[in-house]
Amino acid sequence: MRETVLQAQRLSKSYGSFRALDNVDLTVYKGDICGLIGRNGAGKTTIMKIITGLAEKSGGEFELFQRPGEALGDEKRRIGCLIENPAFFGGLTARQNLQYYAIQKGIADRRQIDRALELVNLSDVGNKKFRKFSLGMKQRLGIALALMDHPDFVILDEPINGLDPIGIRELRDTFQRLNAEEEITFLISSHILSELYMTANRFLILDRGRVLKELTKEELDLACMRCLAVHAGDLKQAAVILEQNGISDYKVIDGKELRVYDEAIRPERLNRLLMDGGVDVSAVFETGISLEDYFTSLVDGREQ
Amino acid sequence: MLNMIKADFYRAVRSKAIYIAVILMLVMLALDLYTVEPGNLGIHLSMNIGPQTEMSSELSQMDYEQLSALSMKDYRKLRLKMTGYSLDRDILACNINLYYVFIFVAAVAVAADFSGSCAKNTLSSAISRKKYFLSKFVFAMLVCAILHFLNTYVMYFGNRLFNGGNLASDLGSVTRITLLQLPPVLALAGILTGLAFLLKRMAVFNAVGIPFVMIVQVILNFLSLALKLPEEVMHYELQTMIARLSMDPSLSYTLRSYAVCGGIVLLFGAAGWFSFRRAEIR
Repeated sequence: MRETVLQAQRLSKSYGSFRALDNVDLTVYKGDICGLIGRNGAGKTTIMKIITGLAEKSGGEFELFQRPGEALGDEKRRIGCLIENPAFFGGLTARQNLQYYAIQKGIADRRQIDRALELVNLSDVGNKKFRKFSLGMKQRLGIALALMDHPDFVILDEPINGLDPIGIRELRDTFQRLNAEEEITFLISSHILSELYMTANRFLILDRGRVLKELTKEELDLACMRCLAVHAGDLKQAAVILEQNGISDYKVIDGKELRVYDEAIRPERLNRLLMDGGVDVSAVFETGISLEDYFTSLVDGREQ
Repeated sequence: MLNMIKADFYRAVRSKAIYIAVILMLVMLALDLYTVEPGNLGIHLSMNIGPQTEMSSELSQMDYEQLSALSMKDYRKLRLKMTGYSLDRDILACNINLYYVFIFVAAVAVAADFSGSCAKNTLSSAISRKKYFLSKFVFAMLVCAILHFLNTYVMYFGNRLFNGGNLASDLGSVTRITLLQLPPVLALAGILTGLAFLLKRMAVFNAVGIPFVMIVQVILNFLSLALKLPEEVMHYELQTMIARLSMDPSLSYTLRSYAVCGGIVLLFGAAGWFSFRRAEIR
């Protein structure tokens, strides 16, 4: 049985009458890079705030490192996190800011500061004041703080905000390397689904305070892969024929392609049905849907 | 908790605010020493602060018009000729002024953490809220105590250097007064730290913290008049306590005033803690 780092049961959070989290169950296993996917207001940051002690839960329970989350005490040092925007003292340099938190955590080995700055490519600007940093540099410093002190569990809320494509790739490689070499577990939220797909190996899809789906990368690949794409002259007519034949699990993408999600239908049969109905079919092929489509279909499904 | 206090010292010495606070303190002292008369930023409620030494001076024989006609230089000369007057004790009696210096300390220790959202870095992965709260209180009190002693000795040696020994007390009695005043000084630090936890944001903290001590004095003054409280009650207002503790107070008054100071620290500490312990950290 895999060791759990975070386990939450029926976690809830309300702000007045607004329910930000609604009985959320989630598990993060040791060694996971777990991606939290959700729209704005889905509850991603709220989950992160509750498990790091920045906000109080309204109900439910959670365990960190197999101990009740609220009784973690000094084991909090095993967590590194960046929640919402990176916040540091503007008048201090990057190195001084990290030094301040290193003293707080009782880190005697100051080389850890250099290592953290190196991991996020900020070594050259360590002596620059935080207030003079660009958005991307601020974000990197926030990640450096989260990675300092060899944490066992790193929680990153939208970590690639403000980063350029090269920076995003470098950080993705860093997270994956730390995960593989040092067995650091990551919980990462992002709006950039394609990026999260390339980084994470497990996914939690959230919407309006509820977990819609919890799946591994393999399961997600499978879910996204299973569909038949149809390119045809008259997609409206094609849709009518599908309906007449009792096939309702389909979607028209951007008005150019029709996707059939019914796993029981083979491409040959689909082609024949459409041709017999007088539709000019140019192609029928198996394809996957993007993570974005998959996410949208889940959210739409819930809304319906 | 010790690490947290060490970290705050590390940051404080790199922050401009503490140096501004020290400069403000030195400017107030320089003005007091030059005019040979301490200025007071608070509102005196009870001037009857204890056994004063007998003073004699040409100034006491002048009327308002004659005093008004004096230049600052002449006024200073006449003040320096006073006999039986201890300028250093008088300046220590006005240590309520340090409240305005201590505002910077509470701002650096607590309000800056919340205003810049830096508190979340500490609370999410370093220490518990309880330890955070206690260490901030201890840090603020330590810095305020250090500033209180610094104020005393800069004032003492400055007075000896610029005004000569005529208006100076001995070092032992000045040290004794400084120690006696420590509880009300710590109460000032407690009020400000409690307010910073209660209000969190720097702008709100400044808006409330700066006039707070005077507003409390005005309210107490009103209550004292409206409810016809005995004058003795007003002796336990902070400004009066600081002044009276500089004038050879009785043991019973000293102990009672310390109990009041303890109560003030507990009250503001509790207000700050209950506001902070469940608050969402942004």
